[in-house]
Amino acid sequence: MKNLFNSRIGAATVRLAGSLALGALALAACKKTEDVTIQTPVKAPSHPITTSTLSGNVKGTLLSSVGTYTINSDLKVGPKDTLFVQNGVTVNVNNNATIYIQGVLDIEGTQAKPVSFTSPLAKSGSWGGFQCDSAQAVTVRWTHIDYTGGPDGTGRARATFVLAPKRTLTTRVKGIIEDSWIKGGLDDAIFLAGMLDASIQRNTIEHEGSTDGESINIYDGVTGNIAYNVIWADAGSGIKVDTDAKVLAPQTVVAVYNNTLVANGYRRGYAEPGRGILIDKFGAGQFFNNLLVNNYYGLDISPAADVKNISYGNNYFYTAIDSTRKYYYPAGSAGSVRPNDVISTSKTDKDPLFVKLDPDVNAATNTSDFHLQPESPAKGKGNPVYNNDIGAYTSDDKGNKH
Amino acid sequence: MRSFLSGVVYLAVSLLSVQAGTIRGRVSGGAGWEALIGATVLVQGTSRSAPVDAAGRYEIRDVPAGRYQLQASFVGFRTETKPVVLAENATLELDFNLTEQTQNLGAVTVTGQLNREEDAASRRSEKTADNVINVIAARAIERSPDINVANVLTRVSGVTVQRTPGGSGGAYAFIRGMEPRYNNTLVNGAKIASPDAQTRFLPLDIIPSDLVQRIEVHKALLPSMEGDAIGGTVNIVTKTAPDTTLLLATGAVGYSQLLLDRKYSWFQKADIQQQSPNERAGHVVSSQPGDFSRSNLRISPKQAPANSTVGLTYGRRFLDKRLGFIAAASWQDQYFGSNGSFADVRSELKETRASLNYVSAPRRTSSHQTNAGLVTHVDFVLNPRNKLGWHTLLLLSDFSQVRTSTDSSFTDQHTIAGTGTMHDYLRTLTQRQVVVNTRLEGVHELRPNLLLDWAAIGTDGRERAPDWATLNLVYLLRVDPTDPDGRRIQRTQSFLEPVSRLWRHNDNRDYSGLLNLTWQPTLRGHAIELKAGGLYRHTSRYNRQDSYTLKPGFGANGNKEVFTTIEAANWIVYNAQGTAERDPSNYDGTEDIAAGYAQAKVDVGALQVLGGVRLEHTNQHFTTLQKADILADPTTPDNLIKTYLDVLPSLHLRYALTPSQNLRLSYFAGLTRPSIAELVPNRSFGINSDFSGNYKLRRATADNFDLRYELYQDAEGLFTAGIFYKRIQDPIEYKYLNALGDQLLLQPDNFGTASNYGVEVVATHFFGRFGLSGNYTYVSSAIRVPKTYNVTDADGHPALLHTELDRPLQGQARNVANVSLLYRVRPARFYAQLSYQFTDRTLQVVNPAGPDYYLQPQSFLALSLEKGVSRRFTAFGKFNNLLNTAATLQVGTSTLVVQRDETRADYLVGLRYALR
Repeated sequence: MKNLFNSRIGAATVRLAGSLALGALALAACKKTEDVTIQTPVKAPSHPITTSTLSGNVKGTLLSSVGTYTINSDLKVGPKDTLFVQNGVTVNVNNNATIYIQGVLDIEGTQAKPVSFTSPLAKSGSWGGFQCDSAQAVTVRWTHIDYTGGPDGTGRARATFVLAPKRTLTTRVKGIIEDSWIKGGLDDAIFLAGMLDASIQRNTIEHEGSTDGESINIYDGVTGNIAYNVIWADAGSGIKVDTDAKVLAPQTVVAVYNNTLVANGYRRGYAEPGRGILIDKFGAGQFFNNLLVNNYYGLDISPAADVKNISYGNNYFYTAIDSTRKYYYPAGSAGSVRPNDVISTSKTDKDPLFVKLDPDVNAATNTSDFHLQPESPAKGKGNPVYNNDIGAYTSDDKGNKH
Repeated sequence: MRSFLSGVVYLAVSLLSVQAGTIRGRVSGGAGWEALIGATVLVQGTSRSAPVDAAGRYEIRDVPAGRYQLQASFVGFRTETKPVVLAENATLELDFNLTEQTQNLGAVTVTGQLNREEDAASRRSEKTADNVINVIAARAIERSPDINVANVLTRVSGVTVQRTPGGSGGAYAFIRGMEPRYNNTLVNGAKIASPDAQTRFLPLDIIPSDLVQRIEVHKALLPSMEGDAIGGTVNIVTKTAPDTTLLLATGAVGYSQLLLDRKYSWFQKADIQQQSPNERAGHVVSSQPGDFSRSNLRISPKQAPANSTVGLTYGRRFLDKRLGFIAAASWQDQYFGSNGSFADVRSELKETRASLNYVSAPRRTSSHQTNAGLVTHVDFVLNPRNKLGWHTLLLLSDFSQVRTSTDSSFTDQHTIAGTGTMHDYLRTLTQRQVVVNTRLEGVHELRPNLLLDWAAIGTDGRERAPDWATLNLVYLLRVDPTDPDGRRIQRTQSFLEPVSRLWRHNDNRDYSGLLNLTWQPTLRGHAIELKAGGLYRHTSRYNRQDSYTLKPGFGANGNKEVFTTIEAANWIVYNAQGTAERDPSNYDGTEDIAAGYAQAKVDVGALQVLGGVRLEHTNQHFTTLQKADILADPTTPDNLIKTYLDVLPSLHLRYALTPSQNLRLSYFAGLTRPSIAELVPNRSFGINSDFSGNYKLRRATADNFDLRYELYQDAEGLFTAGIFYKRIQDPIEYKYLNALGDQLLLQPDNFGTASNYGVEVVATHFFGRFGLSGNYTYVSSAIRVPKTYNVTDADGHPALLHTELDRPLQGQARNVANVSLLYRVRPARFYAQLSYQFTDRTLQVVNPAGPDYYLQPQSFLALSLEKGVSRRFTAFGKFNNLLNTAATLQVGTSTLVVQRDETRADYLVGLRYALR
């Protein structure tokens, strides 16, 4: 308990001290009578980790000053322990090692100095990702997580980031993954389940899953906001929402808005078409302002979903592939075109005008740029409860900052 | 020796010249002077002997005049010897009335007696036993429609056998509605290692009935018996050396109706790798797609060969009858199958068809099982006070199975009727189970009334299941998007889904030593027996599995390829190194049992009192091979040591109301230990269900009370009626965790305190040529458990309703009845037996979230016929499941079928040769 307390207070104090300092400077500027210089107090990080090779049980802080760490075997952050990662840190993971979080994970990258967890092999399936089944709290900001998806001990595929507190907990665990990049995992990118309050916002997720896997798979009772994410070239569905068919409560209820979903759902084959967004068994929530381009299926609301507790609209459907245009709302699904939806009827009709869009949905190139051109018809068409614009890149400052 | 031989020669020569006499008389036993049918009378020093007939009489002819010792013996009685002087041409009348032996039946059997195979001997054993017991004899087994021990046991009062349709999930006995785990299975009075991956008991369907002399079902435990039984103990007594030369041979052929109605699915086994890629290399390798055979995943329909059964038994005595020997060999080759369905049902307060997640139908199996068995027994009488015996039992069972099913999803892409994601599953597997058991034993009469017996037993049960291979193809039935009406349904092509290839093997070794000391003094005219002894058993067990996930590879367009044939399928090995190194289901375990007891038995007039106490100390341990400090789930330990001590008192009263009537009252305390496999908290694979262990599992303990009235009318007539009550702490039951593919994932858990009571009636009566034999058991059990149901709250959101429910124990059938109609014409040696069996609705699967699954009532009809066709040849026929009864599992509160399997009738006809 002591460690958890220290590190949390430590992080908060640094931020608080920073804002105090700014405020004080502003006041000083008004008076113009004295020169005041306040040095931001530097508080030593809790349990600094100075050895650059990590293994076994860890707790403490990965330091910007060390810079690069290496993990060669499984890592565990035990219950009540905290792993804090300062900005700018790079962690190289080898040997299909996996990071198990049973305590607190706090990765504080910044826009200028992001954090990176990657494999030197630069090959999908090289390590086991973050397995946070019993984590107490998880915060991930401005962090690259690449090339995960190696099998677990029983040969099962693993999601890049698993956040799955038990659904029998009485209070929800907070899970934040924001402004981060996930690339090249072999299964789901983010798997959320159980008594979790999730904030999955402003992330970029690409090329997840081999012949299966969703980018954001939300399951078994999760609540929260899934917004401003850019998701492209996923094997299965970009965002999937459902509840275990065996125990229906707590129910999965999420707000999914202002996501940009491009070229998802082809690799599984057409017996299991992937979707931009799939609301499956007993899932519920709000689904607005999403920009769905070149996906196999668009927005699929299964008749098995909790249809009466689903609201949706202001979603934008476009595809350059003529054969998939009929699948915006697939036949037989419980969803249908809403009055405020934007529906393209041909390759040239209502093109959302990305800065650049690679027309090959299977291409693994990174030449696309999903920012909107100033004259994009997606602007100003959003449901203002969420945003005036549709898609992840918005005119205001709430959108994706990548 | 030489003088003895010359004496024999002299006798033989004199035989030719002198007229011989006859000795005859009556043999009875006990205070009631009842006829001891099946007892043997022997002229010592000659080869002349005679059995006691149905009238209770014996007759030995052609005995040369002379001075002899005449010996009468029978199981359960003290052997008696009387001197006689036989004059030429004389007929001498000599009666015996044997006194009951107070030594516990079944404790040690050194010199065997063939007559124990007779029904009458069974009744005698039941009557004279110290505890509540039912016995079924080999001759009854021969005449019944059953070819293995599992089937035979269903004829015993209060016993049902759980078999898995399509086999071979093993077959285990339920006694008075108590799950197999509550019942002990012994062979010749001792534990035998199980080859099964899950349970600690021997699967009964791999023991051919040809090897068995008799089966005892003990429903109350004596202190001298192992204490880990609550329902009861099944003791399988294998054949022992006969008193006279014995030669039995049996051959039979048969067929399963199911495989006449449809073809048998055959698969190529030649390419199956017996070892996983890692095992073949001897170290962890990076396996390639080519390391996994494909031909075992291609099935073709064939006409199955006929089923066949061959048995051979030979026994005789040597060295002036001091050395006895018997060997019984059996070989059974059977083809069978099942047609059925499986469904995954969402748990709701009231399930309807709308609660189905998916249905697997048809789900079909084609199975082939070959059982080979060998029993040998040698006994050696060192001198009248010291005897040695040596038993061996070898069992080998090869099983292979094809299972095919088609899954239709009602939630995944299911829009209108007839649409949804579809999966075609194919699974082929082979497994071999081997049991080796050897037992060396001795009985020593230290003083005239002080007996020491001991046994040393080594047993090994192992299973090797190479390459459980699956093929999973997915396709989609969807509304044709080009159909303006949205009605036309379109089927996509099939695509490969990720599949696993599993190699598994386990081995269980037991070494036991046991020792008993019996003192039988007489005090003021009362026979007393004091007995003390102990047992130590060390068990070691391991489980290994190595599993490889094959994922579909990418086609030229970067997506999954359309599946055409298994040969052309494109897969990659996802976990190329297998799971051997890190699979948490790989474990090493041990179990050590140390037990000691003391018991006293006293006869006071018609009352026999037997009481005592037994102590059993248990130490169980396992270590999983997974690396210790990093575990995905911190609540799952990778090792465990459990120790506990149980004090198990018991008291048994038997009161002889009249010489032919007994009243019994007994109390005993018993326990049930989880198997090591059940404690290892990880998933393991089963043919019909997968299992996840539970390290928190506690042993179940119980107090058991029995009251039984017994009436023995004549040699075969029998009537018993009894009531029983059991109070069970922490009963262990299998609960449903999940449905995986087309089968269930189950986990053992403790469920509060249960009470279990019932009534049991057994009756056999002959009316001339007709006989009627039946038993009926009523069992009622209650346990209060928490339940959680999915409901919809006032706002229309899903919610959980937590409530408590009274329900029966798992495996309990409220009413179980067996009725057999027998017809026999003794001169023509014709026997017919029509057997009807009824088993009531049975709780099969406990579901913590929702209604439980019940096996629906089942009625079975079987016919067996036997006709002597010459002096030594008998023709027979066995016809089972004539009503084509299916096994149907339904959700408790509705008629929704979770699982259904039908196996249809099977037929067997054969010829038996007997030289007795």
